[in-house]
Amino acid sequence: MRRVLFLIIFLCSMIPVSAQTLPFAEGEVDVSAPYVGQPIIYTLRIFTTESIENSTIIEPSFFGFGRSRVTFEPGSYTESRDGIGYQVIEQSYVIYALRAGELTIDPFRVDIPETPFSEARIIVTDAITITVQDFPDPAPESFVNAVGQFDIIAQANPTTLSSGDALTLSVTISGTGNFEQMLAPEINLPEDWRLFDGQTSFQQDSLRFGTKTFTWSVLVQGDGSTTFPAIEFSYFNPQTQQYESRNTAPINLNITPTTAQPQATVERTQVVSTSVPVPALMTIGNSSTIPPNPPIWLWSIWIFPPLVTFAIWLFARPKRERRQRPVARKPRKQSGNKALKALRADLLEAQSLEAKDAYQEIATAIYAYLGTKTGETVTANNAKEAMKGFPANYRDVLLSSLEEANAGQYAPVTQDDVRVLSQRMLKVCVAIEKASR
Amino acid sequence: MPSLHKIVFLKNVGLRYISTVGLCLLILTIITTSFTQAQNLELAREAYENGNYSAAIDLYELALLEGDVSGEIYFNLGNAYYLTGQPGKALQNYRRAEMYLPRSSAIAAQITLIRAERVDGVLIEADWVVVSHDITSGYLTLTETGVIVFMVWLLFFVVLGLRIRKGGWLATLSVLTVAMLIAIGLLGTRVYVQTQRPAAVVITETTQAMTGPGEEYFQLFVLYEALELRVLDERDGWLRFALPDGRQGWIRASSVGYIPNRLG
Repeated sequence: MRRVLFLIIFLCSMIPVSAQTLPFAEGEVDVSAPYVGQPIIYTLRIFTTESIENSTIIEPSFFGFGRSRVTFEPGSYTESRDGIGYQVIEQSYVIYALRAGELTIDPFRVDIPETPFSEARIIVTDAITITVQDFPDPAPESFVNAVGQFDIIAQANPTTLSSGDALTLSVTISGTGNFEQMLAPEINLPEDWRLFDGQTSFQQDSLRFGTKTFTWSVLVQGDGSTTFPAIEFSYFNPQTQQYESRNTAPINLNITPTTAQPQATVERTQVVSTSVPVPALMTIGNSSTIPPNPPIWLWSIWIFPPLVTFAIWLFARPKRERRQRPVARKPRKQSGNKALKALRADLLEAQSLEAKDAYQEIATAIYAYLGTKTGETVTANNAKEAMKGFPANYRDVLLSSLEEANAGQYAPVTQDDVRVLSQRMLKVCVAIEKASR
Repeated sequence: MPSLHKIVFLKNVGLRYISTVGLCLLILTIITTSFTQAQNLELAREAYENGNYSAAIDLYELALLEGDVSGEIYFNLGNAYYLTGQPGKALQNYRRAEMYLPRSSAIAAQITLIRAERVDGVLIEADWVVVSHDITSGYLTLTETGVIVFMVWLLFFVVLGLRIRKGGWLATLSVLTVAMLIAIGLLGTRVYVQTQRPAAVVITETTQAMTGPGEEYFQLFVLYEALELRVLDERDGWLRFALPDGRQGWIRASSVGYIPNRLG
């Protein structure tokens, strides 16, 4: 038994625990001697046998390179290296060299945090040195900065239009290359035509291929059939190591004459002339002298409206609180006319209040009216008692209105309801007075 | 020995005499200065019309230095810079002119022209704060925006006061609250962008954007003349900037011209 145990331990010690299963990373570029501005795809691969979910990838500075704003989702696959199956995480970056000469892409660093099964690790890629080539001379006149392989198409819409009208010209360049830095090709127009509103849109179709569209509005002049001049676009092809030029097909236009005069003034987003006209001077001293930036006192007066409103609130608050507090009115037996007059004043005041407060005020006014008539303190409890001497039909109306006034304090009511209830109460009380006479 | 009364009398007469002479001198200085300024502007106009744009630039710059600031002078100076092949300084002055005369179609046309002609073309602003700022800046000066928003503010508090006094006005107050919040938002972004992210224009032919405030930092990309940017920070002669498309970096302060950002 002891011999078997010894054999197992010996065999286990022979299994390589080893550095071979440790994660590692490598970087690779798709071209080792690119031209200035030529897109370079840098691929970072992280080989691992364990989860590296919380790892941090620290990118190098890419000194001497520009970095594309287009980003790509990382990919993942398995690969066997030296008989070990690794999970490979792959991330690609598109960069381009800013100058000729030897440039070095510094190492990527991956910080893998500590887990219950392994300690924290830092893995780095090797630095990559590439030799960037400058463009050969002489470059064609229409070459600006495009590097790659491209096709160019031009479209005009509409192709039949009146003289002085604008057409939309779109030039679409597709292929592989430095789309992000690519400038618009030069558009040569007849002297009296005008180019408006240059707009650019760029779409990266895949890691290598993309499409860039330049759009302009062109104001055409003339009469009859004419041809929109071909647009020449030159680029440097790194594959053939030569400059290449592409021309758009000429576009036939049918321009009809117009009697309308060209606009003297232009819209805010318009006007780009192909020549350099001398702009007219503005006459000085005609405009108002209001400064564009407000003087400091203009900012300070902002405080006054809230201050005045606060003062109004402070002034109005005791009155509101007085209204909300149940007022113990000292009952004093008075003539019906005086009671009616006081009631009318109270009901009128109630109408200037908010609906809910107004209902409470109406109920209080009726109790006060009854108190004045009876010479006793009248509340909801003894209101019926106080109305004993009233004609039965008026008493019922008054009681139901009082109930409504009390209930209305807790129900959705409007200013119109307040007015209707006040008028009804007043009518009943006037009728009671007449009946009592 | 002169009496005390005499001394006081002479002193009063002397003071009155000095004040009168002083006032006359002040008026004379103002008249002379105005005359000189008007003369300079007339000379600038003549130089411009004769095609001597450099002289026109000097004279307009002199007028601005002497405090004769207006949208028209900035526009005319922008024209002179444009015709001497300095689109960066031209755009800077057109943008200054636009601050004074935001509804001028002539200024707008020249700004559009330079934006279309510059290497970087027309860039679409991606920052919503700046977009919000641009809603009003194309049509109203900051003073006009401030006055309009103040009117909404005043109306809001008038209606609030009426509600406190007499009740009601709830619907009007709700509408005014929404209007006031929008108006204050627009004014707030306008003031914020103008003070915290002042606009500037690249005035040199090219300038290299770096990752930090110094030559020892990494190079990012090249900015070309007449590109407009927003300044986020300033340190040791370097500016941290943001472009309309969101790119950021540091450039030398001497390579850009500010568009004024004073608030009065």
